[in-house]
Amino acid sequence: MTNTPYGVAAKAATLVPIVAAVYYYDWGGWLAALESQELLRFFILAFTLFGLGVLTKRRIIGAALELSRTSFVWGLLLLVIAASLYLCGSYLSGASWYRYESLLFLVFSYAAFRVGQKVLRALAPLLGAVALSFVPLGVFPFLSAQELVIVTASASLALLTVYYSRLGIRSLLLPVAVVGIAAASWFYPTIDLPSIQVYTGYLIPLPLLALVSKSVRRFTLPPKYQPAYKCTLHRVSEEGFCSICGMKAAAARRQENLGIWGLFAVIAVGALLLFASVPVLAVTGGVAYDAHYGSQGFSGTVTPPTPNGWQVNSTTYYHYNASEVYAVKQVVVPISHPEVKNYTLYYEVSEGVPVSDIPSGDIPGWSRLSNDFMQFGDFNGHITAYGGANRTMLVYSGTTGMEFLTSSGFKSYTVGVGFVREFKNSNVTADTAQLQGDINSLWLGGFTNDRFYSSWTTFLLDTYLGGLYLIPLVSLAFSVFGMGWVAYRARLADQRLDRFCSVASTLGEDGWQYVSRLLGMPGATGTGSEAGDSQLSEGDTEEAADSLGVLEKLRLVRRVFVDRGGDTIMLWSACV
Amino acid sequence: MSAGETISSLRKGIGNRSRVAGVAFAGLTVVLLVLSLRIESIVLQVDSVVSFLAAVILLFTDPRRRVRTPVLAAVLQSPEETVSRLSTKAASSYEYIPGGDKVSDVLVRPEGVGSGLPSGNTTWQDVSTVTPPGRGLAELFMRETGTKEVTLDTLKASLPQVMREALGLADSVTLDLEPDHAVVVLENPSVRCNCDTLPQKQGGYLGCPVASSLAVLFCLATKRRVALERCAHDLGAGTWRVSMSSQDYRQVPGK
Repeated sequence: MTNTPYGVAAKAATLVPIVAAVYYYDWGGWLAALESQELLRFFILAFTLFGLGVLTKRRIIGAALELSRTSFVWGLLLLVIAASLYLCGSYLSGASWYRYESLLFLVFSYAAFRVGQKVLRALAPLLGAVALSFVPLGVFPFLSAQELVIVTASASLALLTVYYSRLGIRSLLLPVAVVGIAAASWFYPTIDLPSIQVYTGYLIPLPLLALVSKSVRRFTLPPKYQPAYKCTLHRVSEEGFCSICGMKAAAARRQENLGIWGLFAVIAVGALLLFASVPVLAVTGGVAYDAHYGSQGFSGTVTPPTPNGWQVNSTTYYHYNASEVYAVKQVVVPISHPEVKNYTLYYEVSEGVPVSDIPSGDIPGWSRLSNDFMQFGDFNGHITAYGGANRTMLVYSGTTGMEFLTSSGFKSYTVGVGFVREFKNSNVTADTAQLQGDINSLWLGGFTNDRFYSSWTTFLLDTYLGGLYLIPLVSLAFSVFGMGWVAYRARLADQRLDRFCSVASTLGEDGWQYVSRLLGMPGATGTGSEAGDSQLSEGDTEEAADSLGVLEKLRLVRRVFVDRGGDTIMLWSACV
Repeated sequence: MSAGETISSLRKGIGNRSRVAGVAFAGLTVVLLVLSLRIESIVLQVDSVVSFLAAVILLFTDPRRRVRTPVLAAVLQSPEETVSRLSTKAASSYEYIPGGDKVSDVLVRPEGVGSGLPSGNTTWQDVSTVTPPGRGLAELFMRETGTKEVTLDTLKASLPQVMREALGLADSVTLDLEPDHAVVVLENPSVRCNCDTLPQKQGGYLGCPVASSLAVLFCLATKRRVALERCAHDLGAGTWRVSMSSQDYRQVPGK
């Protein structure tokens, strides 16, 4: 499989709308963050080094693009990291940083899915530099000192750059110039010109202009690989490399990487991040909510909700004992004609039996007329009627159990609810019917909704507990699998070596010559011409290519692609 | 380092990775055991058992594929019968002649050609030379030792070790090599041929693959024509004696 330039462009174009949709709400945050001079300077520096690195090794990266094979496993792993960082951005401080890193990992994941992992490996140090382009200032509590963060990020950038340039002194000249300007910019953030003030951070990419000069390019960029043996007629493999001299000689003759399943995975995860939200009954900041946890963070409605057409005249939060989590008393009246009737609503969330100031027992000035069991939604309780001088007071109080998510985890609480209303008549039956009718029509929907949110909380709790129970089993499975895999690889390596020795020992004269020459080379690796005779004639190269092909089928040699200078070349390596 | 030395050292390295991994797993077993005693985790306990099993498998099983001796003997049976038939009926004697510097250049020339070819209906009239049996084994010796040129000294230095360790043909091999005579004694050989049952005759024999490979190497080392003598088995001592003599190639009339 390969990647053509048009194919890469098409894949990149496909990614743009996905990224734009998923990170639509984050652009503002990023732009705001980059107003900080420190962040902007680092951003420019990292991308300048990235651009310089790509220019430096453009032929190697081009070859890596052609040779890359997609990897669903790596793509999935990177996608999980991207989604995790995205969600971290919703619930932790430093949202912009988390979302930026999430964006990068989404791009890496997409590249692994659809372009291939070889190009990611070729660019790995540069991608690390890009990941550092957004310095996590103030994101982590243990990295509170800004200077420490910036120094650490600078040192990491320097190490990545040195690693990428493979310690080539000439290759480091331009990066050093770039870093030098960045350092100067740190001490002199602006330059005052006669008419304008220039931000020196914008000057960081200036050394790239030097690459316009051919002599600078020749001096600083890695030289073109010069093979010891120059083919007059290349024997081109399907990867586009000459089997004899190892040079890139033509475009790869392989099918384009499509990565359709990877595309679907990215779209599916992007859609989940955009639209998924989990309903949870939560207590946050001492208030109970019908909450939704989604990719954009937490949103919720305070419970109990105020019925439509009604308003809260007064709200009192009260706290009787330590077991009470949330207790509120509200006087609710109709918006139109509030003087007609009012209800006093009590709503309590408690670790034990809710204790409240709902009128109960013997009340001075009132005589208790009846006390009957009444089910209100999930609430089991009693409705008590009190009589007075041409007046009636009805009191309902009931309790039920619900699951809540709190800052300290999942909790099972008892929820108590109470309604009190005074009627200016003594018709208890009619008043009771009216109270039941009102609370069923006005509040039952809200409390049924609470039950729905509570059942989701229970589901999450069960999933969480199930996960906890599975952890030992999963860790055992992984550790056993890991040890088995290591043992298998060690044994396989020995068996391969044994097979190599057996098969190589019985090769014909020609085949043996190629294998024995390769074994005599450093790393048992060399070009086809080195494996053959260094003085190959025109006809010999075809024979050598055929012989090496036969040895490859016998699994005695394999093709390896290595970077020499500024080029990728193909070598033959003995399978030992 | 020559290529031959490389493949020889590669062969010695077979099993090294398993051994290293086995030792690492043994160490891991100890670590996991100590940890499991302190933490009392079932995962660590099971892991320590699995790690121990992996260490045992890696350390005490051989990753090399081996051809079992009866199989090798069965494989050699038919060629040996052919050689026996040729030796007794096709020609009165055979001599190994060096055609060049390589193993593949060594040939066998029949003398006093008869009509006893295995096909039964042809004669040796058109056959001046034949490929010696065991030439592949001689080639294998060359690749194991990495030598480009076979001399008596290289044979003395490496033949016993290669036959014993790399090829596993015998428990021990003793050599008595002189320019005009050679005796190779294999103690407890892995395979044996029945060339000692051939009738006694004056000229050289066409040896079984193992004996013939020694004749090829001796021929190549001396650059002289070699006559393989009838080999001798001492069943009581468990030895197999292969002897041969050589004469200057150029001294042979008509060559």
